[in-house]
Amino acid sequence: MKFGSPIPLAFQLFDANTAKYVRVVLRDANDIAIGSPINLTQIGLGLYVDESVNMPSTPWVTAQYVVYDDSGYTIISLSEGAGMNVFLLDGPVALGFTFVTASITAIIENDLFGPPNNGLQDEIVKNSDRTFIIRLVRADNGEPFDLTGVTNIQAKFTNEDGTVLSINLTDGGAPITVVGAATSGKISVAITKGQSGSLMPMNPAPFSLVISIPSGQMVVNLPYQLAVFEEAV
Amino acid sequence: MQVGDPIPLYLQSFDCNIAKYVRVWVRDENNTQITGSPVNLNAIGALGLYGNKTLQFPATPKALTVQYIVYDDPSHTVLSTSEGATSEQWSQGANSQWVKVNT
Repeated sequence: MKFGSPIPLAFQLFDANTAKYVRVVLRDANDIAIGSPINLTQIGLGLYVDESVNMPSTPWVTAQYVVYDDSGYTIISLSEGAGMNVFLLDGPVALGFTFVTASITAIIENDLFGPPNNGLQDEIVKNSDRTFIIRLVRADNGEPFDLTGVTNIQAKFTNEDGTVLSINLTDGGAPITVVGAATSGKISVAITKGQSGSLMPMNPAPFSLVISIPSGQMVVNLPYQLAVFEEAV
Repeated sequence: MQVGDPIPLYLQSFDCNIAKYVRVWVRDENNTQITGSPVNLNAIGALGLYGNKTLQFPATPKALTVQYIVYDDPSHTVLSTSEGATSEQWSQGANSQWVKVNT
């Protein structure tokens, strides 16, 4: 689901009963209740619906449907089962993120392969050091994304064992640095021989950045720009 | 959902029972459990919702089967006869996005 789009809450009673009362509790990905419970409206043959809540900035929302016998929502129905849905937010997600609405795109500048490259910009060979330059651009006007005030940048790669390798701006040894003026929106990301040796060989390889600013975090996905290859033998 | 994101594992007790014990197995397309499986779900709230988000979507397999089993005891030895077991499937697409196949 896209951020801000209506959550299509719907619950069908197995016996098409139209005289029940269905209440929904919505929770975010940290299992914290979102607002007050919502009472669904019966629209025919025991289908109860609501679309009054928009998808918030959380990786997913759980909707817990409970059926009651009374309009005061005090007597849980013994004849109708409860149910649930999970609504997933589109795009890369992570727990604890507060998404901000501004969006940015990112381009790896190395352009190792030249055109035509189907978007692939650079490669990492396992067990080798590699550094590449990434240009961050505002999606709304194409201007460089101003890195002034950024508190952290994370580069996330996928390891062979399925875990995630995170390299941080704040890590020792400065594996991520801002290149030139912060207003130019350029960063350098360096991955070491030891780190690359654990990466999953994939072409293209999943790769994303998490940009932290005081008001929240932005996730930038670069799914088709980077490849990870086995070292030559 | 992408590789490395937490897998949202949730089960709703049909009768809002909060005194059950739910264990979940997550297997790949070769029926091999992924790292960390099985896991136990924790009760959330007072109306029988159980959840866990400690497992991560893996990179290697392209499909996952999630099996939810409900027990009466904390040792997970007595299968509940009042709550049904269930399962769900996830699939990884060409863009590495994990999507739920059935809901």
